[in-house]
Amino acid sequence: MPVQVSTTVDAEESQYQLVFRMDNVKNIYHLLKAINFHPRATCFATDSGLKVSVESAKCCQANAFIQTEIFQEYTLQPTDESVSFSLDLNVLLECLDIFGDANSNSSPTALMLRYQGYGHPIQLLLEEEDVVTDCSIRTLEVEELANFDFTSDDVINKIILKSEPLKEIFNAIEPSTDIVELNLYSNEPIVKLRTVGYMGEVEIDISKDSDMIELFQCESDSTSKYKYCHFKQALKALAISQKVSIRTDDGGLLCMQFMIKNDYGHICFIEFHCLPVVDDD
Amino acid sequence: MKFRGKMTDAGAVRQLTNLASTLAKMKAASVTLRLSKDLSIFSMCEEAGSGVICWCALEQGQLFTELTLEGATAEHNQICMHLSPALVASALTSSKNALGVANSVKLKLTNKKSPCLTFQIDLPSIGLNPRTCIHDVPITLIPRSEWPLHEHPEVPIPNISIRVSSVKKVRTVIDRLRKLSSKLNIRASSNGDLCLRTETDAGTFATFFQHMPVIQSEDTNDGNVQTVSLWIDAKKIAQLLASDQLNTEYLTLGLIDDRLLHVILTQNDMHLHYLIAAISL
Repeated sequence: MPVQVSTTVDAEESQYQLVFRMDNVKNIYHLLKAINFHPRATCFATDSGLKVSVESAKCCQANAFIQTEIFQEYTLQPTDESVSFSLDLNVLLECLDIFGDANSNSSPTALMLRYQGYGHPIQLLLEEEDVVTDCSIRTLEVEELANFDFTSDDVINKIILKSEPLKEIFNAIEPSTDIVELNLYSNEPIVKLRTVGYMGEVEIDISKDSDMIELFQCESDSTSKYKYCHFKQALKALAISQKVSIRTDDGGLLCMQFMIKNDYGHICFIEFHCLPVVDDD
Repeated sequence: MKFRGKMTDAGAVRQLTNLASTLAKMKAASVTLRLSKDLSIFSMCEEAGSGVICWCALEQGQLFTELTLEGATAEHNQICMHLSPALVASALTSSKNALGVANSVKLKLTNKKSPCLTFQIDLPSIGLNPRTCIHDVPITLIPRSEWPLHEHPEVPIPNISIRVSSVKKVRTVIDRLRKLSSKLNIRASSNGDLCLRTETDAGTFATFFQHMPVIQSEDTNDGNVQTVSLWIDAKKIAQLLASDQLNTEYLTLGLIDDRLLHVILTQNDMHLHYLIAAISL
């Protein structure tokens, strides 16, 4: 269906910097719910779509990318400065789920969002059958987010896995786990996951030839450790994804990219960055 | 005092079971049952000593095919007792087994070490021998001097009364609004508009329902639309709707400007009344 991506000044809509419409709020709700590990989210609207970022303790960050194709209408006014705003993500999610349809198969809830610019609230209109909900959510000052500089040059290892079997592995991790260690070995090509906690240690080896690994690029052996309490913030995104790519750079910075297909066959991505734990040796 | 009643209609048993389950979910400290020749009235106070806020009157003719009642005195031919709705619900739930519903459920006032309301359930069985299940629900008889405390109040005629058929939707919306704020505004208009709204530091949120049947409104001479609104404790109405086990067909909301919300849950010919006082901001 044709998508109106307009960057021309429209007399009627010129008061809004950003207007978008979606026929089914599920398309955005599940993505935002998957990155809801912190109450504050920052939204960036660009010509390619919407990016929603959530950061916790400056050491892990999730970004959800919703391309313009996902929207029935996406209108962004050309401005000198980027269009961005922060808001309370918990409040936004309650509004998006006001009719409780995000998790059910009843008639879809349609969504319209309008934003006038700095200092103005987000205006949300949600409609299901004949009932309309009108929300005005206060926007907050955009705080600087950590820039996890992950350039292709520094990437040393990359693996692409099917999400379903990986979900099972991670669901079995003991909640009291302290550290998750990711080891990639090029010789006997395997991925070794190791978890360490006060209950003990668990090691899981996944062979490169296993069905669940679609791509295995390991230039040099690597070991990186992450605090489980940060690492597990990625698990909700994993739960709704079909595939995940895991990359590490020589500093041990972790970048996971989750590929998520919605009911209409559209693909969205959630990116998750996590800083490693540095040994005090 | 004597009370004996026999229920043979499966629908009546189901209705009574659903009512007891609903009252049990409301977690009232205890529920009062007043038995007279015409009615069985269940009622509930918010706190011990305060007035009745919830009641449901069932006609004895609909419940029992046989009834014997001898009340406290000839003049005051009623029996009043406190009992636990959870125990009544579990007694009545046992009236259904794999073979179907009970042939009959007999209620009797008994004295087994202490006063009880005994449920004698004749269950269907494959063999020739009938199976009987007996539940003794302990009760506390209420002395006649305290009967006035347990009478439900005369509710003033509301300024506006509207009927809501989309019970599930209203329940979901109220549940979401409750998570956003502890106070809820209900506004009804004589043209059939209903608005559920709340405001917090994070924003304003309002859901609009249209074309609701208006049961009662005051005549305005100038033909203008009359609007009545009040603020209530969001948790109270959310809990009421969450406790609903009646298969409610519709809700009736009676608004008395700035004073009281009278909610009636209707299933068939059973009406559960609930009063929620308005709060000031």
